[in-house]
Amino acid sequence: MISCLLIATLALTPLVYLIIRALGESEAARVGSFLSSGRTLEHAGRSIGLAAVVTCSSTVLAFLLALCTGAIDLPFRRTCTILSVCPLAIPCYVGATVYIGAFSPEGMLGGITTGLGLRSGWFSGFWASAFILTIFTYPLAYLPIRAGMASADRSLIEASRLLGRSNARAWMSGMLAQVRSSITAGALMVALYTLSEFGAVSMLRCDTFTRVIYLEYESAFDRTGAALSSLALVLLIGFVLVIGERFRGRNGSGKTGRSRRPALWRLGRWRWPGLIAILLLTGITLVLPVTSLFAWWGRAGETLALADALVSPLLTSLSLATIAGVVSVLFALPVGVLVARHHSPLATIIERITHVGFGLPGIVVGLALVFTSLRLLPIAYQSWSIVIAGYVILFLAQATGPIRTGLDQTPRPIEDAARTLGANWARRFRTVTLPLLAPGMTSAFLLVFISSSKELPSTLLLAPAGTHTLATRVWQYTEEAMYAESAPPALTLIALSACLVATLVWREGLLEKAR
Amino acid sequence: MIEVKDIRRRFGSQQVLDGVDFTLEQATLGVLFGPSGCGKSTLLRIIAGLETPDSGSLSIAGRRVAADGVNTIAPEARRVGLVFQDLALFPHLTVARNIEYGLRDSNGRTKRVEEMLSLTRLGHLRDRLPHQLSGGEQQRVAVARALAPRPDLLLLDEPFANLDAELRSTVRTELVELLKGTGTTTIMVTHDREEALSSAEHLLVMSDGRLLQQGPPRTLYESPNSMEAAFLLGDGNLLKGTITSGRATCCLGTIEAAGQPDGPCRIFVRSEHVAIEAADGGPGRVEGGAYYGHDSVASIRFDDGGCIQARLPHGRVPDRGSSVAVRLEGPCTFFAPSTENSD
Repeated sequence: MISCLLIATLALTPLVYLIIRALGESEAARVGSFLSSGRTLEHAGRSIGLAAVVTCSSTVLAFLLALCTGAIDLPFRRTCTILSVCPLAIPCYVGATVYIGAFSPEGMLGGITTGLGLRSGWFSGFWASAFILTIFTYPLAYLPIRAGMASADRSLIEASRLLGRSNARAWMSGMLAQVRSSITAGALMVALYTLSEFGAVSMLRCDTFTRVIYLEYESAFDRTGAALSSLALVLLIGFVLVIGERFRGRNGSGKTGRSRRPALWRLGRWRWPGLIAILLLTGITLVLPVTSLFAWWGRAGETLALADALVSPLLTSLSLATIAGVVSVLFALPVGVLVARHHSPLATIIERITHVGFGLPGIVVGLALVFTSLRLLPIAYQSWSIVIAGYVILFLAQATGPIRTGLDQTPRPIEDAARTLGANWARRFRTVTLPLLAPGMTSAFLLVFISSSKELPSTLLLAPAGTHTLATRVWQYTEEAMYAESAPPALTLIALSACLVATLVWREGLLEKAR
Repeated sequence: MIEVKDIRRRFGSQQVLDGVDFTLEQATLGVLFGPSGCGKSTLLRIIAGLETPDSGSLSIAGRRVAADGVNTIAPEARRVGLVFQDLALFPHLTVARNIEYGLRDSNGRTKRVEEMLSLTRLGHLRDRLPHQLSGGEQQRVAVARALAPRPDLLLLDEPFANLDAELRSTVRTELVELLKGTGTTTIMVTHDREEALSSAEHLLVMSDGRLLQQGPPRTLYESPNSMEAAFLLGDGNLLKGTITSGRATCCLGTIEAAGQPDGPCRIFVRSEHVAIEAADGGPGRVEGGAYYGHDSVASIRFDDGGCIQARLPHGRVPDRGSSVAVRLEGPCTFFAPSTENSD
């Protein structure tokens, strides 16, 4: 219990400091002028606009893909399902790097730039960001929608057919009614992700809040401005969360009885265009990025200093991610036990607090930790320990999830049984709880490990000067237009994220459902 | 011997246990019977030490384990075995390791496990994991695991609830035999009448957190001390009657009622103790019937509007509308008339 309170305090401290820094030290006039300044409104408008555009386009794309792979007798449906999830393996900032590089005069698509007489660097700004974010974040919406379709029940569709609807109308109304909440959930995920995204929008010079926070922080004169922008972004995210909850609460699933899957639509030869569309999409989300990265790497060949570009950042990333994973699991254990075993209001509050970090953008947590460490623990500033603290705050919720699931699957009576058989607290934990929790702890570790290894914004702010992880290397090389050098770390990041996607696909049981 | 004295427990605004008292002799099988939500499972968990009573005391085999709302002996030190409703086998341990779990003393541990395996006929399954076993086999593992440390008291919480109807009675008979063979003092919780009556040596009937009646099953079935206990243990008829000088008159005619006070009364008669006979001009008229295979139930309406159910062991129900004579064939119980509706 006490350990849980400590963990919750730790997770909340940076946010509190951010608020103090933003509001406490600046005069009221400063806050007022910030709020009314045209620039702030412009940034807010751009952030909201980008989130809206990306959410709409991703959700539509995800819904169409889910229809193709989940409702139509598409050829190679299992493969197509997996291909539709795969873009998740490419971090958005890597995607941005790839396309910026590809459209540069020497890049794979450089011909388009020169042929159309566009100026170099034309691929940037709002619409470029919207494009990149859409093609690399739509799987966040695709996963829940596809899962919702897979678990939909055919009885609703059959009922509305028996009530006189045509087959197509019955199908649409019956299916939509059942996946509506999955669509909302997916759209919410995309919206939150877009608002928090830093790497891609920064590389593409789209001035949303996240980029502005970084620029203001870098300018070093205006850290209060950065703090105020962060606070505005957090409020925006909170607002979106509240709206999302409203929507979710409104449409209950209302499922009754056991579900049987609706039959697939037989489209005959019209199914082939669907397959071609999916292959085209795979071309721009997977094939082009990977081949163009390999092409850059191949072109540079022997001249690349691999030790600098790949080996040492890889080692740094791996060791940071390992420590963050272990610490997160250790922190998540008591929190998970508390929440699963003691249903008290305090337990719920503590769980919510550990989720706060998950909702915060990396750039905000990074900035908050800069303030916190400078104020409370100057010795930690610019040290690896503060980087790890940032990862733990950001990803703790990813660790509590699987651990809680594991505990929920270990029914209380099993521990009681051990108790009546004479086992004391320590023996119960060692012989019953821990072995049953092992799978949950493993997936908790993997999730935090992979998320940490690709985390960019907080690393950028917190890492000791002159040191690099894979993510900051990609960032720095892209900023300096050294696309060949960015290829090895970018490909490694894609490989690491592919592991995450593999675990996701496996955990969601997507393979089975696709059958 | 188990002594339970005035145990009380409240959850929020609900008094789940409202002063429960009983004793259970050594090597007896006691059955705690009552409808769902009457507090019997809570009582069992209190005896095991997994819940704390608000007040009252509890001793097991001469040891005071709870007194004045404090568990003086922790569940892990109580020497009480508990078989859970969903069995709660350790899913990651084999059959043999499950049984071994409660045996801390390495001396003779292997021998005891072997003993339990052969007692429960599980020897060939020793290396299986629980999910590889059938329902009946899992049940036997749970019992073997609870019995292995030779507990002073064994508790069974609805132990057959998850078994198929056909399997149920076989497993039950087997388990009762096994427990009698080992001379284990046992308390079993159930909401199944048949299970309660057929297994119990000492039956405890509970309702709304109170013990209504206790004793041998037959006594409780034939002479319930309250209308509630009477109907909990089986169906029957509550008839209006009048007693004058040791004889009661009701729709079944005149019945011996020695020692009962004069005046109006209610008479409780089990359906199977009502015998009917086709008789032209008889007082009752057959109003309906249901066929259950092993017996049938006929409902008979009297001219004065009263109605009675008769369970006919092998007779067929006479035609609807035919006249019958009705008489009592077996025990009955007299209650003072209450405000309750007698229909």
